[in-house]
Amino acid sequence: MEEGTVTAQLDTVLRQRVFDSIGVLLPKVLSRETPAISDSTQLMSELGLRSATMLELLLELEEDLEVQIDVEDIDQGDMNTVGDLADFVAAHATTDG
Amino acid sequence: MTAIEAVATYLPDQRVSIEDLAGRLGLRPIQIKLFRRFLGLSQIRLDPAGTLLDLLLAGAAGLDALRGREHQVRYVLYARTLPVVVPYPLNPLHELCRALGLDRAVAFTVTHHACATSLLAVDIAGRLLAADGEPDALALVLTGEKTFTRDAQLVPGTSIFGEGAAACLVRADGHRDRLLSYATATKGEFDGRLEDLPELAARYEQEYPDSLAEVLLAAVAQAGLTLEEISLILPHNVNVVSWQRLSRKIGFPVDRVLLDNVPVTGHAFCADSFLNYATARDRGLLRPGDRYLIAAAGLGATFSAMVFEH
Repeated sequence: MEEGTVTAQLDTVLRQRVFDSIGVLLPKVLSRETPAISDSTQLMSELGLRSATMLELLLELEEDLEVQIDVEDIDQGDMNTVGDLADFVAAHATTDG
Repeated sequence: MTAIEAVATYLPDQRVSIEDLAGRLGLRPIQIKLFRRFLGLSQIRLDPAGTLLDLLLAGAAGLDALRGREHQVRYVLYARTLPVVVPYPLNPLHELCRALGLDRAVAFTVTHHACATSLLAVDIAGRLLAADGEPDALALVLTGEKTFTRDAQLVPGTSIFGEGAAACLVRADGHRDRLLSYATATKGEFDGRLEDLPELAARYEQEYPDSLAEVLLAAVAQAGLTLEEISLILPHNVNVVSWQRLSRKIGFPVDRVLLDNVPVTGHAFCADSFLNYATARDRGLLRPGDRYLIAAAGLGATFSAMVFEH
């Protein structure tokens, strides 16, 4: 198997973990129950996240997944939907230690 | 053409970490982490025993260019974020004028551009002096505020205010730091206490980057320049991440946005512009002929930018 294929598979696994973790962490970050999410769920207009709660969610994801997320490159486009955020985190996460 | 002749700054000695502020501000551990990790804030300066007058006097104390020229000062402008800072009829500005021997100056406060008011004050000072037509006349712009309430200490999830002061001597014309342009936009639709108005806060967050980018680019264009000709941006010290995003948005290298004071001072209201100017000057980051941007945004909301030539 080529190296690129392995990386792509690992990213897919990590992305699914990120997606699942977002679903678990959203009620904690927003301090209320949240509806079931899909890739297309809008983080701001549907769930009511704001810039600060978005960053809190990233911190919670780091802790939950035991990764570090490089946020220097994050842009508005990475925070539109749950799918956008999961893509960004999976692409910018490095394992602790 | 309006010019800055001299700038003096002051930061109180007491350094307070955001962990030590957490109890007073009601910050949860994850919010402290957010401030440190993403927003780039770690401490502020405070002088809990000092009055507003103490703070402003300390800001002016280092202004050597004022000594012996007090009689040339026609205007004293106190630029501040908060509309009310002392109970009536106290007026520390007039006390300060007496203490500095500036009794003959017309002294008044400039506000309502919130944290962008220092730029407005420099512009007003320059225009008043130009209208008077006295070449040796000076104006003194003062900044510095006390963090006396929670709203004066914290913008939740965005910034923490600290105490600091600055005094800036302005002339109608000069060669030191010449004002090339001033762009400002006030968007009154964002007036309101954002903490109480989540929809307004969400809209403000959404429009903030475009609004600030517009005035930055407008100021550069008014100066007849391109962004490539700007050597440095002196920002307001609201936080690091918003400036990182804005830099990317306008295509300006973030390493030429002076963010070094954010972790040291927090957001010192209207003093940020001058604190950052002093840092750039003292570190030799500005060479003669360099064009630089001073930028600020104020809640309420006003977005402002000035281009200067050093």
